[in-house]
Amino acid sequence: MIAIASEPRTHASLEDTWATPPGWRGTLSSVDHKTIGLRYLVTSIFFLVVGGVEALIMRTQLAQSGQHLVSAGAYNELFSMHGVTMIFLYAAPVLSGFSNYLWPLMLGSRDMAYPRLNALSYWTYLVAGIFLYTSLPLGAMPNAGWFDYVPLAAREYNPGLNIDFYAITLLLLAVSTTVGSVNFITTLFKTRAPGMSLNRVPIIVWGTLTASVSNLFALPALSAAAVMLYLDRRVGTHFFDAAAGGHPLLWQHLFWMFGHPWVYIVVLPAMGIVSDALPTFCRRPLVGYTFVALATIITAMLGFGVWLHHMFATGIPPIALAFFGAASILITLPSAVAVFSWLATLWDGKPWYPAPMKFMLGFIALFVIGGVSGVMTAAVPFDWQLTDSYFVVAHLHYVLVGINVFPVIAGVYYWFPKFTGRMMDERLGTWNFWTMFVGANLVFFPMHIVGMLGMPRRIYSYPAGLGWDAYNLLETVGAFLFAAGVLLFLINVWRSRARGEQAGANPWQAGTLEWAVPSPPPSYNFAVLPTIGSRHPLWEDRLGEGSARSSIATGPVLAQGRETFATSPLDAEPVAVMRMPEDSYAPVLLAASVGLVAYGVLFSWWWLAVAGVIGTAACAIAWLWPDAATAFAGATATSFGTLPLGSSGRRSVGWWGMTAVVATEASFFGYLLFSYFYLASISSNPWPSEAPRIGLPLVNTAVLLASSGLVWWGERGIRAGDARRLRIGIGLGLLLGAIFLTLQGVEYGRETLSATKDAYGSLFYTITGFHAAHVLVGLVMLTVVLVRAVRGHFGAERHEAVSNAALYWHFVDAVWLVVFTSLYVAPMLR
Amino acid sequence: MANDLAVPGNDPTTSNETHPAPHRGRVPRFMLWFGLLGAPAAWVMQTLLNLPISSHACFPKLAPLEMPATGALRGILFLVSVLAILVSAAALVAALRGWARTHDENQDRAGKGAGHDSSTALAETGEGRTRFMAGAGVLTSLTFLLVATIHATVVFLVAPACGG
Repeated sequence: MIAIASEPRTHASLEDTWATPPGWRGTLSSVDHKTIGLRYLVTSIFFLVVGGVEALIMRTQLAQSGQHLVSAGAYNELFSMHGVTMIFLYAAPVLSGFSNYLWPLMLGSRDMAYPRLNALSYWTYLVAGIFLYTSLPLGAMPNAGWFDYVPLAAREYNPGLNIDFYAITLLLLAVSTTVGSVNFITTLFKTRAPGMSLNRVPIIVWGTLTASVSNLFALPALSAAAVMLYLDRRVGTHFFDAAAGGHPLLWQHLFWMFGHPWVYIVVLPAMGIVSDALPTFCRRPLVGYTFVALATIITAMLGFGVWLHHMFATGIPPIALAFFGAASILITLPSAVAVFSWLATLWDGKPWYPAPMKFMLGFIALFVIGGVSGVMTAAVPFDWQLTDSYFVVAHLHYVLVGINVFPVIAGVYYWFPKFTGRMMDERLGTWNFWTMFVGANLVFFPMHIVGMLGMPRRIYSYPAGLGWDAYNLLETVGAFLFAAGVLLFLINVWRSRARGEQAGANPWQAGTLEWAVPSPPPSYNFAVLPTIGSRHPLWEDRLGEGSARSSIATGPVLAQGRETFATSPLDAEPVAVMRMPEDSYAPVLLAASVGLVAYGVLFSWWWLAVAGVIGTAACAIAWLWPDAATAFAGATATSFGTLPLGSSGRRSVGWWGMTAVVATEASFFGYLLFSYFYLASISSNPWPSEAPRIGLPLVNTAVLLASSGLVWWGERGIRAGDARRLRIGIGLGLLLGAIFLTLQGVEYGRETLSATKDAYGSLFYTITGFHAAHVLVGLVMLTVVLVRAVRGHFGAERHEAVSNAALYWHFVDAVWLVVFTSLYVAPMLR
Repeated sequence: MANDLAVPGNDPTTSNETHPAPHRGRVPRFMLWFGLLGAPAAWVMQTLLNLPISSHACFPKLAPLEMPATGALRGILFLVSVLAILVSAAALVAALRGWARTHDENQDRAGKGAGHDSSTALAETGEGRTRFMAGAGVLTSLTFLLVATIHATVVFLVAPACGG
């Protein structure tokens, strides 16, 4: 018997299983990726408008020389908030919105791999936005620019709460972005439709995957920097204090190790929007799919090796500048691949030009202009002339407006019919495009010229007679024209969502899988789970490509719960039937609890921070509590053979998630150790100021290694079905872990070092303290595993939680070996 | 317990005839991944080693030097670069071998959209997952071989090394 997508009984049963209840309960508990995706889009575009209003106030101030609409201090806050809002609260989250909404539809799945984590990512993002803008009524908005250089951001020069708002907001956003990235990576490698091998995914998926992997390795640099900044300001540590062995350039290194990859993180998925939508309007597949997919990855890889080009003017040796200048120039190669691919697709296709296509063509033009000015600043001597001038402002706005805002607007026009079931108004769309395109060029192009005329960035006013007035007036006119374009866009969205023309499932006659489902899609996405035979499942008859014909209208239903296939990472062979979690309040409550911690830490209201920590722990326990609805339930017969039910196979979803967490945590320690060695190499103070005693830590190392061995032994036992061995192994491992923490407490008590004496002491306690915190988290995981083991939850075929906890524990132990070698052994070798 | 319903005769994941990677057995997985990631990893190490080596030689403490603290600076930087180039070249060889072993994987299934020519199948549609990864490895290795070589070249082009 074959299930057919049009059977009403199938739809009713699936709707009953997957639909979120209406009302406030559903609003707060929904884990539907489409709901979360739309929330991301709406919230981030709201922040785009807020950041835009801040920009308009600045442009009004600068329209003429000598104006004093706002004070210098207010102007500092405006440009800082404009940057933080646009970069952190708009540019990346808006792309998460598209990807959250589209990925399961494009990949032929019913939801993301971790639906609740998806909700947590959104709610934490919202909490971060609210937290940042709490600074407005308090008159303490961040005021040291979006990259917040010390010593300007140090407490000595900036004593208010302004910079604390900045640092804590970044940490909240790091939580949101990291869990989102873990989710995207796991979703791609585990939940693609059967047959959708890695070479058949849309380019936006490559873009978001690349951005997500980059996040895992880039964000920890920012988190480490934000933690150090907060500690310097509020605890009195000395990471950035040159007089005490620290250095301000440490901030710049850490910030730009994050910052440059971030540029690609906020453009690569947007380029993916164009790579997927442009072929639809050219009526042919993208030319050079493989090259574009690969160029996406190579761009991100190279993006990690060019951070120093933001620091060309900081006195770094010329020979080192040369490496980074060369890499910065070479990064144009993969970027150019994408541009030529789009042009070739236009050339060889039969293009037509509705509103989304106009925005995509505008994007290509702006991308080229922004790219060329970027290559110019990759040349060190040129950069020295123009650094901190308006030329740089022009470049970064061409990049971010051109490669992010234009594709985003194009993407909304393109997928709006899928989101709402209605088309956007085409005539209004044309007006929308031309006002934004002309406005963008009017506001940003003259900035190149005025920058070369010597106008520095971030000045709140300027005297007459420098030849800047006319350009600045033109820029202000352009800014208001651009804002009018954004207003037309919002009007179009508002009108079309209720009064737009009915769209149908595939109004553009596109070739990718999301257009196979009704518009808007039902809660369960696909009535039957598709089986894929090519990269363009809806164009197969036209193109004749692929190893088989895709099956979309008929196929497996999987309707005995919230079920979807788990598939293999490379070739998407079905390996299990996963059971997805129900809607839950845990994500919103957890995010709110984290918000309480943030306010508590900001105002030093420790009672509030403790309440937040307790709330966070309670939510985490509720979240992790074993759920019968998603538990392993034996085997089930499918058209792909007999598969485990309530599982996700050998390399499970949990394994992918934990591996991603381990990767990002390892990076965090990597950046802390980089800071240690960087300051050790540059400090004019004795380093270490006092050599730590090695005896007790050496014993502790042996204790931790033994605990790792015992946990490994216990896990091996349960794999063979020996539950007693598991209990003994985990129990003893837990005991040794607790002994490690106790001995570390004893060591701290004996140590004469101080975190507030000099940078060495600051780093010693920060690194060992963070490691101890990780040991504590590992102990909580092992405790949960032990309780479940005692209750008989695990067996030879069901021990995913054991393996994941063991993986984390081994990671914590491996990190200690590196920390021990760096902090205790290395000083003895000097 | 039967959970879903059969799809007859069209299962691209079980039959080798319709599998997206029918030649997956011809190339060891390690070789594919080394071909793809070996060269970028070598370049990362080259950059992460040469930056601190050159910085420490020219800027050992809070005051910069006019000349490097060690006369062997360029030699050390070049040696690191040569190692990176050798690893990148090895990755390129691995990728090329994978590429050669999968030369006909699904290449006749590129379809009519593929630049009107099945010889451009891989570039156009990416058909054949094993070949897709091997081809990606060739391009990645070539790119990073170029980057590592230019890095090695600038070691000798920039004079003076410390700006003095």
